[in-house]
Order: sequence, then C-alpha cells, then structure tokens
Amino acid sequence: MKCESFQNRLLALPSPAAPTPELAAHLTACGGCRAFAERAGNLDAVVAALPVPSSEVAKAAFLDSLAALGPVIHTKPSILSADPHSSTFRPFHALARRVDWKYAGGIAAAFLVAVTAWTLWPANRPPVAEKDGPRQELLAKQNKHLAALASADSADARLRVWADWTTDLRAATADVYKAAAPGDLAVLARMFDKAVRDGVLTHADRLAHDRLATGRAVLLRDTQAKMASAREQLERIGKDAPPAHKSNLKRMADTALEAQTKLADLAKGV
Amino acid sequence: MTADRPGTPTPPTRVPLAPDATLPDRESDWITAAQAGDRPAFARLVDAYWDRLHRWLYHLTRDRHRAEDLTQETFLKALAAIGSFRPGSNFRAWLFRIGHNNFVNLKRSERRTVVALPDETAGTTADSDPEKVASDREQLARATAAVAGLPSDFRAALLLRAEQGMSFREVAAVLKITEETARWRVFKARQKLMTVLEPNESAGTVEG
Repeated sequence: MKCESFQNRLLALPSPAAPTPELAAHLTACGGCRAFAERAGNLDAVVAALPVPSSEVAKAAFLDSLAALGPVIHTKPSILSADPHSSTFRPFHALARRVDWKYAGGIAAAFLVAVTAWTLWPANRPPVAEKDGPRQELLAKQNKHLAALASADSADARLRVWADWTTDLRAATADVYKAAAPGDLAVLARMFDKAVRDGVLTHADRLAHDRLATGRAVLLRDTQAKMASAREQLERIGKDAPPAHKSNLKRMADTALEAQTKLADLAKGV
Repeated sequence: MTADRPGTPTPPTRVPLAPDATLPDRESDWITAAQAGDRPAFARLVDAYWDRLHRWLYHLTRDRHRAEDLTQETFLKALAAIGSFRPGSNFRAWLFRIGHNNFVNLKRSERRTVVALPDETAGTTADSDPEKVASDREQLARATAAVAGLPSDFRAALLLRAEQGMSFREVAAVLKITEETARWRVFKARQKLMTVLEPNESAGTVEG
C-alpha cells in the first residue's frame, strides 16, 4: 500500500485513532506513516479540546425564563388521541387546533428572526454594559411571548400574545428612543410594524370571522384601545425625540393608528 | 480534485453509531413529556444539550454572543416545534439541524457585514499546570486558527464528528447532505488540519 493511500484512508475513517487491521499492517512497516497516524489519532481530540467561552449565565437565564412560565404549556391537541365516542369529540375542531399549532411554530420562527436581526444589528453599537441591558430585557420578554405563542391554541389567545408583544416593543422604544442609535430604532420600528400587521391584524381578522369564538367584540375593542394607547404614546415621545428618530416614531404611530381604525371596523362587524 | 479522495472510498456497509447517540430511556421520557407540554421536561433537555450545542455553534460563528443567541434561538424553535418531533428518532440530530438552519440564516443575513474575527476565549481548559499550559499554548493557538480557517461547511462536519462524536450518518442528517458527502467533508477537513498543523521538524525526524 502506498503511503498516500494509507494516509487518505486513515483520515477517512470514523476515528483515525482506530485504524483497520489492513491499515495497521502498513504501520508496522512504515515509520513515516506511524508518525502520521499518531498525529492523526490525536487530531479529533485536539479539535474537541479547543477552548470555548462559558455560556453558563445565558443558559441559566434561559432555564429561568422557562421555569418562570409555569410547569405546563398545554397538551398538544391530537386527532388520533381524541376519543371519537366522546360527546365532545369534534374532528374538524381538533384538526383546526392541530393546524394552529403548526402555524404557531411558523410565526414563532419569523418572530425569532426579527428579534435576532435586532439583537445583531451592528450599526453604532454602544459599549457592552450599556447595550446589553435593554437588549437582554427585550430578549427575556421575547422568550416569554414566544413560548406563549407556541402554546396559544386559538385565534383569541394568539391575538392577545401579539398585542402584548406590541406593547413591549412600544415600551422598549420609549425606554431607548433618546439614546438609541438610529439603526436600532429603525429595527424596532420594523419589528413593531411587523408585529402589528402580521400578528395583531392578521389574528384579529381571523378572530372576527370565527363565529364559534366567544367574546370577540370585547377582545377586539380591548386591542383597539391598546393600539390607541400606543399611538398616543408614540406621538407624544416623537415630539421631543432627536430629529434622527422622528421618522421612525411617526411610522410606528401611523401603524398603530391604522391598526386602531381596522380593529374598530372589525369590532363593528362582529 | 479527485486525486485527493481517499484511496478506497467505499464506505462500510453499516456506519456505527456514536456511543451516546442512542437515546437513554429518560431522555425519551423527557421528550414525550415535553411534547405533552411539560416545561420542566423540556428544561431537562435544554440542560442536557445546551453546552454541546453552544460549543458547536461557537466554533461555527466564532463569536460568543452570536453563539449564545443562536443556542437560545435553537431551543426556542425546538420548543415551538417539539410536537412535530417523531418519537424514537434522533433528538440530538434534530436539535443540531435546527441549530444549523439558524446558523445558515444568520450567515445569509450577515453577508453585508465584515467577517467575524475569532473571539477571544475565556480559556476554559481545566489544566492548571503552568508549564503544560505554556507548552500547549502555541499548538492550541495554531489549532484554533486552523479550525477557524476551514470553510464553514467542512468545519461544521468535522466538529460534529470530532467534538460531538456523531456518526457520519448523524452528521449527514444534521447538515442535510448525504452520508458520503459527510465523510468527504470530514476527511478534507482533517487533511487540511494535518497539513496546517504539521510540525516543522517532522520531515527530518520520521524514522524509516
């Protein structure tokens, strides 16, 4: 066996530290390949021993946020597990619930992408100590909302989750608008816009057309009131905001106003 | 290119699973419970896999904050999708696949940004012998730079095999490639590292 062939075959093994008998036979006859095999045998261990910064704090925070949400999310609805002889068995209802769960996963993914984009926004990042406070706080809230969204099994539950998220985004904006980099506020504005249009209004529309849902009008009006409150606050802080932030704050206020109007129309139609 | 391929590329008929690839009974129980909405059960899965996943993602991103964010994001997506996990299949591969998807998405979103430099690490090696630490420092720095210098697809495959102990089959499942491609990437990554990490004096000291 040629040395090059031996070395290539050794490196292609699951573990170069354990050569096959055929390869081992070559080792007894070739000192150069013995040295190569020794280095190759240590290679995976060297790679596995590369240092990595501790992430214990982030892990603990994540586990805490899980624990804070309570012991149980919900029982995943399943058509197969439902008892068809039960008087409450409603196959189409069960199917709808199952589809909703999958949809929640997709929404949650989109939700995460938006938040990650904001957390990774590179422009004019302030020093770590200053930037990590609001970012971590918003991330913690996002964790809560995401978990709530994943467990929301009806249109009204999802509407509440999205409405709460817009409230948090609005509050985060109010906290940072004086000191934030323009890029950061632009991302927050985009997140708010997306949460309102793709979250609140989408699910409000579904809820409005769900004739089986109860308390639709009340929830729609409550959400409308939240949007009105958001618009009011965003217009107010827009007046004393730095010039670079005014357009983003106005955009958010306009979005809230648009949602307020649409929610009012939906509530009237219920 | 083909000249670089291993001498006999025929894979074994059955790729052995890594020792810890088999789900322990209690892990299966945690997954079942988590699928039923038991959050502490999901927390146990997080606790069991966080460090391994973070370690891999750190080597892919070379940035501690991005690695932490991706790890968290991966578990959140896993939480949202745990109901779709097929009981009895490989949870670790499923989880790492979500993590890899997140990493790919992150890379796409960062095309316009400067490539991240290797992060300064906290030096988590437990060895406290100053002489050994000193003697290993150079090799460690070279190994770190060499691994960081691998193309990310090859780095991902090598780390899954070398660091996580995954079989080529699992590596393939995580990276959505064929088993043969997984084996090829690991081979090429090892070949590159062997070249980069070759001792300067090796040519003159080999016997025979």
